[in-house]
Amino acid sequence: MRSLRRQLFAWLLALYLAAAAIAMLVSYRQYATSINAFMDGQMHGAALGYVQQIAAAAKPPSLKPSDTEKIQHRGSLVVQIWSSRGQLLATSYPIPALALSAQAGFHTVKIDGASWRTYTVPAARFRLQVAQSANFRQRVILDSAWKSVASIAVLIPLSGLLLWLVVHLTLRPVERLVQSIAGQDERTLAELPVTRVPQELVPLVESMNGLIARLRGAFDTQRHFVQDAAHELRTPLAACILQAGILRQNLDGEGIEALDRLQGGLHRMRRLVEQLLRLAHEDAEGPGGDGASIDLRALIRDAVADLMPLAEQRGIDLGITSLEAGEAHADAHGLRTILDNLIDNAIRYTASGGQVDIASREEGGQAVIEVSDTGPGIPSDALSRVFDRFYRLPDSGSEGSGIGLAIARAVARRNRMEVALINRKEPRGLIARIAIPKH
Amino acid sequence: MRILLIEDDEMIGAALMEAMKRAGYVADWVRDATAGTAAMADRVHTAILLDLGLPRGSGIELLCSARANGNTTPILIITAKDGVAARVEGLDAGADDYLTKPFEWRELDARIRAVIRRRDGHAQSLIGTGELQLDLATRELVRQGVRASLSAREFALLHALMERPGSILSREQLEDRIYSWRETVSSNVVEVIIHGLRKRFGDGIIRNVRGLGWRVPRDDE
Repeated sequence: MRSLRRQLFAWLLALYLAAAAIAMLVSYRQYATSINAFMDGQMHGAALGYVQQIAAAAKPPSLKPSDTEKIQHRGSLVVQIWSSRGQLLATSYPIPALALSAQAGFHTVKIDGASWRTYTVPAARFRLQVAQSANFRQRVILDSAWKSVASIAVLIPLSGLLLWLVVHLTLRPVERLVQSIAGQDERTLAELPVTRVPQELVPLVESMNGLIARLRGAFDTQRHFVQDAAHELRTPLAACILQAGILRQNLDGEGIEALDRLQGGLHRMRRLVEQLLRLAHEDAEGPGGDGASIDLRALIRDAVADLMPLAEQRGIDLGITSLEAGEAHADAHGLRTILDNLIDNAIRYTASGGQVDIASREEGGQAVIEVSDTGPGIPSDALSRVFDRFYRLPDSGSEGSGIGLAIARAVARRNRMEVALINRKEPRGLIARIAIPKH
Repeated sequence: MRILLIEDDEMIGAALMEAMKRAGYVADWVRDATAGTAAMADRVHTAILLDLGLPRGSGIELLCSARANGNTTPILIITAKDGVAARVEGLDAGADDYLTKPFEWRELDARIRAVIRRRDGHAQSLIGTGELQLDLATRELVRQGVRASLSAREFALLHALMERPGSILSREQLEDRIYSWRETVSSNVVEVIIHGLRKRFGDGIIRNVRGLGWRVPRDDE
């Protein structure tokens, strides 16, 4: 994936390096010109001095010998005195291959791979030639140019750091945007703020806001549709249930069996309609309040009382194993919805003769209610999906609407509670666990 | 017993009329608010079943005007509207009970009988379910119309359980009801009384709830 940050940074760094290279080249050129001119001037001055000495003397003066160190590394001048016929009369340092230039003035001569800058001038009956190592000059120029560029070179990592900071700050609004989008779900869908967003990102945010508005509209429509549809189903369903009840008195034998199945279907439909309404209601609500202090023992007792008929009808031994947790801080209605759904599931998915146990205890600042059954449990790969709406286990038969757990989770999320399902081995079954804040 | 049904849905109306006829009620059926107002003004009915969403006026308005006119006939709201707010509104307006669609006839029938009982002044004397009642005046158990006498402790225990059929009472709660605070409690007295009651009236009369206590079944079980 292309990183905007990396790309921006790479480009800026490349640009910076190119600028440094160009600066180096330009300053090298400038130094070359000025240093050459300066050294040429020095040569000229020195040559004139010698010319005066020679002019006053009858014979060529003796020259102080120089050494390689001075010549090559310190830029000392090589002084040569030639006869007018081109014969070397004296030299301060031997450079065998260096000849007398035919014309007076400055020349650059290359001998055996080494360059020399020479200046030739007539002096009385002789000719004077001074020479300076061009390699030395080159080194001086390079050295000077490098020194001037070194400060820039030091700036490169420093400015890299600065660039990184600038890029980071520039991209901060994008990160903020990402966070505010990530923090949304279908219930808290809200337009993103346009203030504090860089001008360049405003069109993006605005079009995103348009999308969010349409999305919210779609969610609302869906929610209302589910609510209205479920509500409208109640009246015809009531008529069917009443008619089926009347039919019972006119039937016997096989007819009764068929009617039992019909009433079973009607009952399931009734439950589904109620659950759909509950889910639609849950979706429409904002985050729940802080709740209130509730008596968990009484709440569990009421839930068991309400589900006892179903348990007896199914041949399930529904009971309590412990009631240690006394008080918790929660929305009582929400907690009842969750607990009822979990107990209802446990009863429905446990075979006749099975057992459903309810236990409550306190655990690390929370109250915990566990509903354990002796049913088949849930395959581990399906554990994360059973909370999805209308998801039903492949072998669950005709039981359940597939939205009980979705409701439980929606209510829990809204009211600071947690619902989890855990398979247990001994005895085999499922543990459904609700964690409720104590305060 | 003559029942007035105010309901605009043909299917539900027809089903309820049929069910009421079979249950031995005499029933009249009107389909809108105007006809409802007229029928209620006759004051010949023992109870009224009222739907809230009606043509030509709302059920709540009908209820309010009936109560304002001094009509005290028991009124039972039957509606698809649910939620605590709607229920409270209905009961505040003067309804005697509130039942959300869909429901089964057994449930409605039990509630009709309950509101009529209450209105007849039996409220203080007869409690329980359609199946099983306790006569608080005579201290007798009424089972499908058959009366049976009870010992003082049996009566106290059943009284506690049948105040709210379906709810679960613990041993401590039942002991509190059987004994006065002066008496000492013997350990298994609750079991002994329940055992005796089951022997006389059948196992189903009081049911165990493991870990919690005992209960009597509700109407809709």
